[in-house]
Amino acid sequence: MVVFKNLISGRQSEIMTNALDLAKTAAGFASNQTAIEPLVAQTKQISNQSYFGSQLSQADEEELFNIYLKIEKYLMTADPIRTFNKDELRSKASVGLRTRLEDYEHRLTPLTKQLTT
Amino acid sequence: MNTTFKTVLGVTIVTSLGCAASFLVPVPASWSDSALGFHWTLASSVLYTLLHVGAAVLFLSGISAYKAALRSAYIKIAFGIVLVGGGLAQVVFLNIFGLIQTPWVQYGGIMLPFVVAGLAIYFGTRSMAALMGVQSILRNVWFIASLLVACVTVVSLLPHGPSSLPELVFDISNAISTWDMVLYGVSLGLVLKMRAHTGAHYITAISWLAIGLCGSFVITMCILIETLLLGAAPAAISINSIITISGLLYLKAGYSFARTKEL
Repeated sequence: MVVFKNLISGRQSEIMTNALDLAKTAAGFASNQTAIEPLVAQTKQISNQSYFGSQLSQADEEELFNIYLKIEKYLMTADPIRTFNKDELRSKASVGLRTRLEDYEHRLTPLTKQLTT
Repeated sequence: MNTTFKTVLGVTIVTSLGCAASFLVPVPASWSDSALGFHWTLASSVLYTLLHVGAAVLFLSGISAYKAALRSAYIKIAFGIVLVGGGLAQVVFLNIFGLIQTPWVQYGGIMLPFVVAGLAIYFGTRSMAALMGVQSILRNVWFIASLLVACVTVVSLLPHGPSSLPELVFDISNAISTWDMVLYGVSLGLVLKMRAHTGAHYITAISWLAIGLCGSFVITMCILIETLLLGAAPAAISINSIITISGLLYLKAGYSFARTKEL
């Protein structure tokens, strides 16, 4: 039954605890990878810099949150085959990771408003 | 129990019931072989037809999550898969029920599902490739039309084993196999390009579609080669077995596509 694995259960729910997994997973949902190529390259660059098992620095995490938010915006507004919503995209993030992401997002919002006015 | 599982379960139950019911059908007077041969042939045709239909149902069960353009592409592919199974089954049904002399067969209607199946699968994968931003000459309709004309012409001119059929009928039959082989091959090429182009979430589903198309391509090529060598279509039992495998591959592809709606 390997061919029809996970038939009864839903898709394996792996709760993500770090920003790198969050950005990589979101990138995997994009049907046209060319459209998000620079963001994927940035993610890879950060991934290569931090060695296996090490904690991400706060600067790296914030950079990855920034990348994630751009990918999320692309998936919600511009993906050619599907429209995603914020909640479903963030549903696999752990409570802690989601809180840190939302904190970063809130800190970013006034800054973005200032830059656009 | 999720919807995809319920759909797979439904397909399995309906397919099993269909096969079992085949053994209850009375042997027609036109059948010259044994009763077991009749029931076995009928059951295997019902099996692969329902597997192809089930695959199409699975493809369509996931479309609600997608935008209209992809839904349209899915519908074309699913329609093509149904026609592959249904088209082959009608040949068996017409044979075993002695309906070969009907106008549908005499005027070539019997070939129509195969011609349309290849086109539907090609245009479905072409639409998907366009949506995913795949750039390829295989998306160019004029290139594909030229390729079809060239391949059909070459196959019609190939020497072949002695056939009881008139040369024109034999050539038309081989031309349709070539038509499908080219369109499955081209669709496979596009699907492989899509696989390289899309995100990790869709790779498993696209890989299984590629395997399904690869199966259809190889089956059609084997039928064509054997027909050219022997001057007649290969034995029904060997065709039935490989088409059942093809049905299972499309079923798995449909299942994988249905699962892509879940994140």
